[in-house]
Amino acid sequence: MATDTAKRAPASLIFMVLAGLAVLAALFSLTNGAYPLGTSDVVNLLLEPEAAKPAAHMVFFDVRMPRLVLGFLTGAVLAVSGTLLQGLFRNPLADPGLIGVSGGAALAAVSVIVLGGSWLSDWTILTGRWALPLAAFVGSVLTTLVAWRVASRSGSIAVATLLLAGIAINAVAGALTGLLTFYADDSELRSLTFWSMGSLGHASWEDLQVAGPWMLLALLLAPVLAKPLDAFALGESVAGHLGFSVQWVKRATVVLSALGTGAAVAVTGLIGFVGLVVPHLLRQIVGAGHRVLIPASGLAGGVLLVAADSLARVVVAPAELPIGLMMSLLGGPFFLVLLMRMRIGA
Amino acid sequence: MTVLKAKQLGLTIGRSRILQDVSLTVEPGELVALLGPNGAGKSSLLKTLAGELAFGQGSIELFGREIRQWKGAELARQRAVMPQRVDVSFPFTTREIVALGCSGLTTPQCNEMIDYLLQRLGIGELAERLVPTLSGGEQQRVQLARVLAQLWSTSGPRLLLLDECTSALDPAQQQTVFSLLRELAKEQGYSVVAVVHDLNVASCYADRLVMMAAGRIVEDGSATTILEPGLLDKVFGLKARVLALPEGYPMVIPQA
Repeated sequence: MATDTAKRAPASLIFMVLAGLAVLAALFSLTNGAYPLGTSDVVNLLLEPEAAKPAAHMVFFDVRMPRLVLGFLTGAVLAVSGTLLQGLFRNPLADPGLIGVSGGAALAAVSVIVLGGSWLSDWTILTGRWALPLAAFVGSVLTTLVAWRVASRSGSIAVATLLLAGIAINAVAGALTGLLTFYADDSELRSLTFWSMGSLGHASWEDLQVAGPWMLLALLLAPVLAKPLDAFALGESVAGHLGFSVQWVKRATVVLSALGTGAAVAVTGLIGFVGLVVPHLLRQIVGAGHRVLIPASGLAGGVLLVAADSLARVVVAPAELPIGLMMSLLGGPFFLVLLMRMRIGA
Repeated sequence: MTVLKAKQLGLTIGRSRILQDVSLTVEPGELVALLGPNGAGKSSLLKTLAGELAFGQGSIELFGREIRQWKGAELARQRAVMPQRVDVSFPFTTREIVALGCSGLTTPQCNEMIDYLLQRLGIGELAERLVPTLSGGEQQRVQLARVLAQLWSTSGPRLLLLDECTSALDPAQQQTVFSLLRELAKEQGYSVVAVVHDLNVASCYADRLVMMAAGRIVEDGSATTILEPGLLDKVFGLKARVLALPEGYPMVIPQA
């Protein structure tokens, strides 16, 4: 019999490595682009912002910094949402994208873009500058609830049904989004393409003001669910016997992941695979315990998205690949390889 | 104080009546074996007592308080439940799973308790192994350790509800587990309600046997009164001889 004693790196080492990678990814992201900025420029800009050339100052503080922060937060929140949903559904295939949550959020956002001046004018007036992220949030919560309702049988979630429900939800959301493109004019169409492919290209401090607090809130509250989600790995009823309030855990998990995913999708569009791949990969390295897995996923997700975004700017420079496309191009094959190499079904 | 008092429980799921007029009382230090053929309602009764299934009629009092009045976290310190089957869906180690039962303990205390429990259950060397890679019998003992850990640091009356907790174990392991349960009952005052299939295990270790059939309790009493050829034939359709052993409990020998 194989002796599968878990080989795990200590958590502190993992966090140090991830923090180091985060710094490297940040430097890579800040120094890459049309305007030349080297590492020393970055250091100088950070230490003495007033002494820099106005153009460098503008590029650094108004273009690259918001892009870096947004990329990191988005990657973190997608990975953490994936971790939470996988824990809740007891399945490594749960992901905001796969079960239709991001699709629902994108559909809601697209609806606001296209119909914001007509059918949904009440919504736009009511919510003002929050119209888009709020709609994306509502869209993500609603789709989560639909997937949930369809897949639950006498209190437990049927995972196969859940994924099938996700496929159906994605199909419907995709069809409706397609329908909306008929109504869209040229400028709306451009925003639509942005939603469906995902991009950090328009990142601004305004975007961050709108979406950042929600993403931060989701990230900061997620660790509260670490212990109950560990118990959920043994099933809902066992979690109940261990004294956790099962309904509360379910609701909190759904709300937090919808909150984070909704806010992220609202400003970046659809970015897939981060929420699926990151927790899956990290579970092999740090183990399944959510106390370490949740923050490690957050860090790794942020690093991954920032690195991928920098790469997306480099490979076809001076143009750039949409980050959503990039993630699916890299993430899809990677995940297939991972599945083929996996020995146990967890 | 009576640990468990269930009165005239009735449970209906859909159209089928799962439990009818079930009354059961368990005192501190008692090890009660629930017996009966498949489909008799043993697991349903256990789940109802665990608060997992909402009963239609009757009442359940745990430690003198109506079951619905208990808060989950509070009850979890005094009552632990082991379901028939638990699938661990992620690569957790044995230690991590058992540690789910640790509450109010420091990490070193918790680790010490885990090592002791694993050793008592004969799986001391599995502490750092990934649970999904363990055999069925090993996983069953890991779950048992988790359930025992949950009540370990509690003082006062404690209740264990175990659904076929040794179904995947060989006879020696079964002996280890039931000796430990008996020790906990006699020395620490644990109350144990265990669904048991092996009649001789029930006879050897339990203080009381409760025989169920078709959602009702047919007999409730000592091994000598329950393990009786006529009743075994009536309930199970089992043709068996029953020998009175010099140790003081009967032994059931199925006839060829």
